[in-house]
Amino acid sequence: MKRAQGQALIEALVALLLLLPLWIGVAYFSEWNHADFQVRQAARALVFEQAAQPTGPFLTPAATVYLLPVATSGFTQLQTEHAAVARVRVSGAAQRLSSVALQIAGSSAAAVHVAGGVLADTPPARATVRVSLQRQRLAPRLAASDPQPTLHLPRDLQLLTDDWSARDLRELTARMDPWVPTGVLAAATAPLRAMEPVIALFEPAIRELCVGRIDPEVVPADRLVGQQALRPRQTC
Amino acid sequence: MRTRHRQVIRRDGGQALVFLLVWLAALAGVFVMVWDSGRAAAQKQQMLNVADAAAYSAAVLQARALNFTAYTNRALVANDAAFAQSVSLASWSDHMNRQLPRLAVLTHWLPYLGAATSTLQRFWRGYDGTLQAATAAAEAQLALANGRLVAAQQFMQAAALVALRPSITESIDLNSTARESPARLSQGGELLVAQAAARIGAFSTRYAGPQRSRQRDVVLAARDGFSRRRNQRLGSGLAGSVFRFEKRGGTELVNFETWRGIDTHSLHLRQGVLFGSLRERVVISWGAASSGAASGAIVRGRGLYGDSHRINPRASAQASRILRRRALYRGLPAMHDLSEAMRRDYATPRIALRIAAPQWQGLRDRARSEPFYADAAAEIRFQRPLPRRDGLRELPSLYAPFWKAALAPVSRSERMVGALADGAAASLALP
Repeated sequence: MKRAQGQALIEALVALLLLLPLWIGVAYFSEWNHADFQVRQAARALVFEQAAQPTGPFLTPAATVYLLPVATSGFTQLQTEHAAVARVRVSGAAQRLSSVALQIAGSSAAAVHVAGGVLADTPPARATVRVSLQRQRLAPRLAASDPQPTLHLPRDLQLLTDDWSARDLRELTARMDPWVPTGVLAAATAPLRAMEPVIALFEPAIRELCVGRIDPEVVPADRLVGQQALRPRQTC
Repeated sequence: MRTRHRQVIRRDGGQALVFLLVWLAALAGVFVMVWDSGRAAAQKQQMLNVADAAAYSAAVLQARALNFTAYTNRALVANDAAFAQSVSLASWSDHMNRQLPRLAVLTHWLPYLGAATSTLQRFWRGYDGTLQAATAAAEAQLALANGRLVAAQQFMQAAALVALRPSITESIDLNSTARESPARLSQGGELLVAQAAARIGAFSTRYAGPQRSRQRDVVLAARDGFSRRRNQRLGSGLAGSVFRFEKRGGTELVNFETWRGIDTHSLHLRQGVLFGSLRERVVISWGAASSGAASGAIVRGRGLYGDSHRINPRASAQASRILRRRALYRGLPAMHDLSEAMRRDYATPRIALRIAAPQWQGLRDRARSEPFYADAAAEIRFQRPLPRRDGLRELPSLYAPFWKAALAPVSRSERMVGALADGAAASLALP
């Protein structure tokens, strides 16, 4: 009987010795898994948000929402990478409506182009996000590793997820040009262009004739705020 | 004693087997639970993907509608500016056609200059006819294009709103992979989509009739320098104190219905050559053209038509008498822009939704289990890719096609509205 005394304590200690690392491991794995999940979600958000603008900023708002908890987690170092694949199937209603609207407006070529996008079978989009987290004292830092996250976006998918937002002023002008039929006017004023130095003696304003072109930044006056830094010159 | 001890040992036999079996049963139970939870988690993840895709898809459609409105608005403004150019060219060419013969007479005796002026005058006589015909043809084309653009814009605005819910349900169907338990819009989701439709419907309005002053200001600001003002003053210094040649001209939009251009040229002299003030004494030439409703009254406001009516009143009166009228311009078109409420208190258009699907059956009774829910939201943000060249900050409008679809976090109130309408605990929805 004496030899059995304290046996339960020893057994419990041995069991604890085995179970404690297991518990710590489970807790650590749980946190790591959560961080990993957040990174995967961020990758998915990037698939959506960068679809229409692949060259946009890395940390889009939705991706930031997912990545912030990772930045403030208890990890001192975290290296994780995700190649998120999300099936993005945008409704065909958008394509059909866009096509009809373009046809009414008179751009049949563009309508055919968009309709082609509806018929195309769209493979899934893929975004790879690498997150490198290094916590310094009281200064958590979240940085996208180098190289920047890659987004492999098939052309058909770009077509489907294109919200028609203009990327720059040149694209803005190019997209509305087919709806401004000033070819006849431009052709009729070609002799004036050829004789501009002579005509300008009679009418200096002829130099400012800009057929079919408007200032690409003109908007209603109440939509502008601030101090005008400089008066832009109209370019033709 | 020994016999009793043997009996106890014999009773312990097979105890380990029982323990093992109990352990194995518990372990199997844990494995099944883990597998079940894994499947449920996978289903939730899949549902979140579906909800995101549906919200994003709907936002793409609405962003397209807003951008399409912006492109068509700009095209309409550009076409109206082209109308102004066409009328300007017709008026100015008419004026040149009168001015050049007089100049040819005056310079007839001057070597080289006389010959050059005479050649230019002959060329202009033919060119004016061509230009007048070309401007008429261009105006007919522009009027046709404007009609189509207005129709396309109205179609897109109305259709995008009507197609909001169908585009969401179509996207849910396309993205759902679980055939046995397909996701659908929950009651809360229907409510959220209806709210989004109401918000989008109130986001923009059609500016027609007298409200067209909004687009008139944009069109007038978009005119090129040639259409705005065709002014020139000859005579400065000592000579300028004796005589002055005043060329005045410009093109204006009258009562939203007519573009009218006037060009005048007069010699200003003093009374008795040396005394009195410089005034219009000799009318040299004039020209005028208009396109649109014939009843547009002539407005002689200060600064209009390059201030022609004030500086050259006699020449302006002559021009008004010989005005070349065309009825090709059908008036300033109605255009969509942000509603007045939105211009005052702007709120980013937003689409939130909530989908539901029967839970992964697993070991549980499917009939009794709560369905899974997933929330998603997307916004249509106004984002200029580059700052303006003039340094001003631009607020959202339907004249600039910089509307972008983007996923957005679901707000607490949206989550609450959806959950309450579904009669489910808000915690069931995924973050």
